[in-house]
Amino acid sequence: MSDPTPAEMTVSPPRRSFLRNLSFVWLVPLLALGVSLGIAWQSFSDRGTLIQVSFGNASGVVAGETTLRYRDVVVGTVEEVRFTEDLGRVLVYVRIDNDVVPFIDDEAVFWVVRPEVSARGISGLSTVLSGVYIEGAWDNVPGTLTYEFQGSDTPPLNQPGRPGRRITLATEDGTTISYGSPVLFRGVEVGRLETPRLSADGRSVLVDAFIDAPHDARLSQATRFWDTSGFELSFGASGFSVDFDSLASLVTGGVVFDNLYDDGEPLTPGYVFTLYEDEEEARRNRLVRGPARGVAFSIHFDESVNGLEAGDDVTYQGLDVGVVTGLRSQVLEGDFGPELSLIVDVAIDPQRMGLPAEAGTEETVDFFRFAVETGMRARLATESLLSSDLRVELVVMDTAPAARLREVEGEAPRLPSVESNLSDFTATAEGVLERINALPIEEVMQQAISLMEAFEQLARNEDLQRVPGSAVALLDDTRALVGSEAIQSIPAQIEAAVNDLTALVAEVREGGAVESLNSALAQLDEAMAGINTASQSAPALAENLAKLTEEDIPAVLAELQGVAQTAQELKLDELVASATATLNRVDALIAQEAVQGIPAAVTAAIEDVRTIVADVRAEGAVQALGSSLRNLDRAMADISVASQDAPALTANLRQITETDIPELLTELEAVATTAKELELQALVDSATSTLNRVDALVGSQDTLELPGTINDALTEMRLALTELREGGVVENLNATLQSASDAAGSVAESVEDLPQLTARLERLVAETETVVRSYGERSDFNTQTLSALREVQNAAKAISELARAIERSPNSLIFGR
Amino acid sequence: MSGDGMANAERAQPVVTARAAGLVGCAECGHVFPVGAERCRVCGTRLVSRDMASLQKVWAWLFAGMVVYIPANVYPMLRTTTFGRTQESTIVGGVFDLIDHGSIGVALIVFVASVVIPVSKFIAIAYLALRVQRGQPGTASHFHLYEFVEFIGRWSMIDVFVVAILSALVQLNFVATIHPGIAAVSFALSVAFTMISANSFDPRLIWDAPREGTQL
Repeated sequence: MSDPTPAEMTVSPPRRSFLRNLSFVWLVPLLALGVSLGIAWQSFSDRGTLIQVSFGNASGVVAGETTLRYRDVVVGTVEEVRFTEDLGRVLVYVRIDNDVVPFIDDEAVFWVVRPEVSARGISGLSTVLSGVYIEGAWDNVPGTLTYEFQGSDTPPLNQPGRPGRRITLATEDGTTISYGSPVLFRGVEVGRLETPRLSADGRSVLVDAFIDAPHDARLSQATRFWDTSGFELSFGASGFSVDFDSLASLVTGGVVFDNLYDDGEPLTPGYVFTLYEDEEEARRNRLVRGPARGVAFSIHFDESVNGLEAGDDVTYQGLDVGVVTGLRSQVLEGDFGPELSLIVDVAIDPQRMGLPAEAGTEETVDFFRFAVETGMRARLATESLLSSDLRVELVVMDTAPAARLREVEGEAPRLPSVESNLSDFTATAEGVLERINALPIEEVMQQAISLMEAFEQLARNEDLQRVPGSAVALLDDTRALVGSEAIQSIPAQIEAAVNDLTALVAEVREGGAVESLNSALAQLDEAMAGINTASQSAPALAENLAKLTEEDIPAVLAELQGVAQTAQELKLDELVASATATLNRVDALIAQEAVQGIPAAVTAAIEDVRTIVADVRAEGAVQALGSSLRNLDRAMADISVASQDAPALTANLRQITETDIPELLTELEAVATTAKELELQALVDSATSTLNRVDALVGSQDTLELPGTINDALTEMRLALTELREGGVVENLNATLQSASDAAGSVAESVEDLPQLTARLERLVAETETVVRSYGERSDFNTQTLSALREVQNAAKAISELARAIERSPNSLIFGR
Repeated sequence: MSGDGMANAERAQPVVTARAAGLVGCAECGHVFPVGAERCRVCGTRLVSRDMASLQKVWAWLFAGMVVYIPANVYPMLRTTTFGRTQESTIVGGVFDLIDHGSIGVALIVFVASVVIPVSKFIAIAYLALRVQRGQPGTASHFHLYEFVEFIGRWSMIDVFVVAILSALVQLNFVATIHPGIAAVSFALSVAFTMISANSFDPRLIWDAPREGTQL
């Protein structure tokens, strides 16, 4: 501080040049500006493209939070949610990342993923915590950018970029199909159904399905779809069977497909498959490889086509070669003016007839033209013995009258038909009559004639001269008997009895008698086995018998011969005379009122039988029969057990033959010897005298009337026979057969109905249980079905419990309890 | 800061400044040396009588701070992911969120620290710098303003601080995760730049100006 006077200083003015004065520090704001602008630009260019997706509702979609995902990777964010102008739909604006923008073309689909619990499982579980998200799907081919989309509420089955094929199925009943039902091929899930919708005219239900690659390659026009509503009950000759597919298809229904033949035509665009009710129907309705492959023909039948329907087979020697496509009537010009004729339209598959694959209509018609000339005809045939279903059969008949393929411009060529040799019921009845005709009536007549001759010879016999008179009387009485009302009414009675029998047979058929019989037969089988064992010891027995035959029987025979000689010496003539007398006595007997009443008694007896039958029917005879068969079953079992003892029995028998029979023979010999010593002569004499006395009782004045009376008797017999024939016995047989057929028909019908019954699960379960219970408590079928049902029940219970648990505490999904 | 103290002391009397006295004062320790001295012999600071580049630095840092303040407000400060849901919040958005949640006090603190202070800093620095540029004479209140700006500047960092702490602590994977956004960096830079700007300001210019103006 010693020099306080500061020196005056000259301060130079600051440099005025702005640029030269510029500091490097200005680089900092420039840099900051650059970086900021860079960030701004980057975020602007990265922010993606805004698209608009409209949804019916946007539950859970939050602007700024909800993400758009593609294959579960976030590719965008919802920016805004608002309504359309009329508030009809929700518009969701999604900002999409630039790297996927090129692929968002008009094929892209969007849907909202929400948690869902269904019979097929739980899906979208992650969205419970993270909230819903929008899932998008598009193919991997860049396309023209589209900005507006229709979103769906459920995941679409044919997501773009997913290999496979979308097809349409048409059905009449949509009760068993639902969204997401599986499409199965040999039990493997190869696709899913979409939501069924009604067709424009409301007459059928259409449902789209998506078949995943590579299974879509199996689709062709040969493919048939049918409904598998989980359960399938079938009842047939082989017994009762229950089928069911996967549990999911049990609950939600499912669709199965298969190819009915190879190398089917490829699908045409817009091809609609028919969804059949069951496999049987699907397999039956194969309309010959589509219309392209079948060559149309028509057939005119003179007989009834009752039982034939569209879809039935056309066969050639058992091989399916075509199908009936329709039935119609047409007025044809016949010999006696216009006639209403039945025309059956058929489609024949040329390839099945052995024609080359590329054969067209021309070649096929040419072939048939030739075939018809060489005797090919169409005729009706039954599908099976018991069913009344018909099919059309192509047969080659060398004996057929000449015919040509009738070709009219604009119409299908007409195949000539021949009368069928249907084994239907008319024919069956005919067969029965034939068989009656074939009965050895001729032989009987022959024998009657020879009998007559014998009578004649007998008549020439002096002693027999008096027989005709009594015979005439006898015949008279017989005629009266035959002509009596009671006998006349027998056919009617028989008819009624047969009626009852018919009903009885029907009931027996319905009841479980057959099963019991079966088991009885099984028991019988066992018994047979036992008997078989027994028969092992039979040879020894036979040996004994042979020994007996060799040694002892000649001796006996010799004795007998002696007896015969004695007999020869007797006066047979007298005996004949006595016989005549006896006949007279018989006549008298017949003439008695009591004998006259026999037919009435027979009638009454038949009546009683009928009553009994009716009672039997009324009183649960079938059940009784069933139980008796069961008893028989038991009896057979006993027999089986008993037959175990048969060897011992045989041993006893052998012992007897070895020891006792020789003794017996010896005694027999002694008896024979004694007999020889008796005075048979006296015996015969006394017999003759007795007969003579009887003879005296009868006059012999009517010998000449004998032929007339016999004639009358024969006439009566013929009348009776005619009445028998006319009296409805044949009809009854027919009716019996008819009822058998009805029974078979109703069995067939019930078999057809069974799958339908399965439509409603609950009802089905109840019914099945009833059926099963009636089927016997301990049968295998019962046990298995019950356990299957129990499992289904358990599964349902588990699902409902799971659902309830989730409902009660959604947290349990995360924390386990 | 010792420089401030010195300035306060000198304010009282209408005085001869060091520069007028032909001296140069050390900005750090307040020791004065004759003009021409290169470095302070006490603390080694380079001695400048008046830092004529000061204003340029002030303006440059101020502009830089203002530039980065824009993304700091536009871009999200925090990215909060809770149970898979990601929420991004900007500074102002965060304030409104806090108000929505009823934390008005906290909202006020955040708003003051993140919006009011930085903006008023920009305004204050620009005002002072403009006055110096125009040669208008400074008063004591201007100096107080400068002091306040310099003092308060660091408190703006609380927002950045909160973000840094949250990001470090809240990393609970799926349940909750917090990430700093671009705005956090921008805001931190903005605060830093304005502090540098305020620091670059040579307070001596405040009282220097009229005299220089007259002198020149």
